[in-house]
Amino acid sequence: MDNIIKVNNLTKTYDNFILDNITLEIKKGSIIGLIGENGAGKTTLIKLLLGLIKKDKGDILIFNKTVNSKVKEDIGVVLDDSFFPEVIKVKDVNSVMKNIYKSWDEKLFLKYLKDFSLNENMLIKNLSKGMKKKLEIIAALAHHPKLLILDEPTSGLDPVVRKEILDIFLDFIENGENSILFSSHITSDIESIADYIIFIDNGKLVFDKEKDDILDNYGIVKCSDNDFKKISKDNIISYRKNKYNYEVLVNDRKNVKKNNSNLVVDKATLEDIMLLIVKGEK
Amino acid sequence: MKGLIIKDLCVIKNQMKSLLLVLALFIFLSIANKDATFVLFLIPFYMIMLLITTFSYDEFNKWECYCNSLPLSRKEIVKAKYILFNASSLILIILGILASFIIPNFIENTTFESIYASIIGVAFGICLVISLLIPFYYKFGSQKGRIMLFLTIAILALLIGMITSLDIFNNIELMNIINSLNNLSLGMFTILLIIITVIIMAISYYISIKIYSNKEF
Repeated sequence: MDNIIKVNNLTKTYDNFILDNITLEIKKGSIIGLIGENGAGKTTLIKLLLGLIKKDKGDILIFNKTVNSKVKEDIGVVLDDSFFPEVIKVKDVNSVMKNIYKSWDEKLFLKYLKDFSLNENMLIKNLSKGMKKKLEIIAALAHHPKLLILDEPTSGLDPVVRKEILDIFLDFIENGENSILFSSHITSDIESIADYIIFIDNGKLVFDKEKDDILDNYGIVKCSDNDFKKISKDNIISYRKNKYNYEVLVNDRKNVKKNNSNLVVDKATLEDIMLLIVKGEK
Repeated sequence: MKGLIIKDLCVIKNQMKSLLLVLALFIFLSIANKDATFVLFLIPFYMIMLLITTFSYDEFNKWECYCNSLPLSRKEIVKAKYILFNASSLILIILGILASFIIPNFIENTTFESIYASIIGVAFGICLVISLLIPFYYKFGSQKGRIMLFLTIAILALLIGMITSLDIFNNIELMNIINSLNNLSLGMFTILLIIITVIIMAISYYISIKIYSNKEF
């Protein structure tokens, strides 16, 4: 399969934060979930991809090209907390965007507004948070992009709106040509739609794996001190010592169960994985 | 680029209603007081304030970040602001020149020449402020930019004050040159100011592009 995004040894240094030597590839036709704590570097990575900040080192290719304004014609963007000035009307977004994107589809935009019952005469500042997010997503979709780059598109929204938005994303990749890079700290959203997971912690890439691979194999064991010592070190990714027991994240739960038949090995959710890797010890 | 200008016009449009009301009030007052200077200075001041709000709202809703994710080069983004600011001034100047034909009919003791001269002077002032304002806003953002702008204008005024109080102005040759400016016809004076304005604006434009190209969002 073709790569839609290719990142090589990407590094960006701030005074108190380093995005360190990130290398990753994103395949065409898939949804990639970018997870990590607040401040882990998700937004920094997205800003680097879009050229909003300058890299210190490394390469970024999107559609096999270095990113310029022509490449951006095929990208749709939703950024966290950054959009049109709020004193303009919903329909003004259309008048502006049709003069920016060559392939802007006015009919599609107006159709989406109707579908999501957004009133085109309302000022952006009078929209609810969910409505505004929908408008941002519509604005990102109405020029038929091939790639969506979304920074926290579902944060702060209620479950109903979140579900609606996730459905739009699933429709979008249906044709097999389009891809989505989607950052969130709401791991359940990522778990429900992503094909691949990129996990960043403290500026470093923890893993870049297929979601099913993670959910099929990773496991959580809650056990005593004695049992903990019996688990093969090769299987332990990280662990946390609680007051009465150990919480252990293992990379091959079937294997662990086979070797330690007395242990209860649960499936690990992305949230468990994130918590144990960020907070646990190795 | 056209899209960006439309965006700023949309921002301005929504504050226009109150502005037109104030404008009508000013015109009425100046006719009632038989004094045109009131309008001549307040309208440009208002226009600049309105244009500045486009910067403030850009910053408030972090538009720059979004804008730079769209298929636009940074040069285009800067160019759009310059076109907006300069086109607004141009419209205002044309309106002003038209007004200098009309006003003498309503207000006694005013002539076309006197009003035209003040309008050209004011227009030059506007362009000067704009050429300082845009790079400052790009460099420092709208909060700090405003303070830095006022500081710079204050320092410039102080410097000019100091220079004019220097001895060189007792030099007869220099005074002759300055006096000869007084003898220039209104048309020549206009052309001179236009040339100076264009040069200053071009320098300002290149500085802004330089600042904006290196900016991180």
